[in-house]
Amino acid sequence: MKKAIIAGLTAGVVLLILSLLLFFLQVRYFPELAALYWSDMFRWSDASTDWMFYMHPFVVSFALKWFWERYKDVFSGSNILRAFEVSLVYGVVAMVPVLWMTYSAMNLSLIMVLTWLVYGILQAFVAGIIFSWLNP
Amino acid sequence: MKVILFMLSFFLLGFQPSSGVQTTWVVEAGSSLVIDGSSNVNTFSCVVKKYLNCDTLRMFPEGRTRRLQFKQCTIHIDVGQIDCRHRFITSDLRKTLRYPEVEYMKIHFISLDDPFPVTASKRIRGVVDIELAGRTKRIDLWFDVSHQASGRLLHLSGQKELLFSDFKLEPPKKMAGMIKINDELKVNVDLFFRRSA
Repeated sequence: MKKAIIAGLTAGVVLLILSLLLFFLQVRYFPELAALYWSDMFRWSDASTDWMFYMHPFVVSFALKWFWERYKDVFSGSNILRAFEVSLVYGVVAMVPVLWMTYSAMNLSLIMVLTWLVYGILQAFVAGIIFSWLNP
Repeated sequence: MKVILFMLSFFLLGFQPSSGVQTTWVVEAGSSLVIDGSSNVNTFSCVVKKYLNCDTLRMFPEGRTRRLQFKQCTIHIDVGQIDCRHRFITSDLRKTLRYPEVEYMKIHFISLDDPFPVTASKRIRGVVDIELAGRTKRIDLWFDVSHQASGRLLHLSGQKELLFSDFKLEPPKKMAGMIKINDELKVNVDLFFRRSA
């Protein structure tokens, strides 16, 4: 249990750093893409909800940790290969259907939704590497 | 990129130039207010589409300093008419300026250095109170002065950098502050006065 919590927290911290880094890179190198967030679709930033934004890596991390503990025996091979498989499963099972519905129902650009898909898969890949390293 | 700010009929400006001759000046169409700003991902430029309320500007010389003093001289700019040519930045900016609770941005003219005689490189200082979202800040605004149309048109052009924080306002932010409008704003004012009969 202790190992699982440590792994979840570790992955959460790493994913938080990853999310900040990716957002920084997006603002730096793809500002026109970042400018798409100036939309009524996105909440006006304030303290009442900002904390939820910064907690999301931990939510993802512990959800993936639960998934990893339950199905890690299904994934074989090197750590990177196992992490890659986990990320693909997560992307296909969890993200594609939700993003499909999101794009169909909300006035968002396709490129933005695709970046979320890539971001989610990348998050799962990084978390998978950490889990396969800490809790193989 | 300038849009007519003061689409008014008569914006009477009675003042005495150095010659001591009483003249009346009317603000011409073409006068404008442009607010330039930026976020960490783009820049924007806001104009006022329509000037709704216009008060009379009256100036008279303050004897010793030759500075022109104003009385009852407030320009009301309808915040609902500010257009940043980006729908969401426009709406976020209006929200920041507490529209519609506070409907107008106000510019109170306090004083102005005597613009006469007009020379090529003349700059004069104006003192204005800017009221934004219910908070007022007094600022010095430097104007370039020029004459056009054989002295019948007087052009005052000024720029001033302001901060949202000067008015205790927080610039709009999205995505938990990852996308944000910068604190600095550049206000460009162009006023054209026509000498009236």
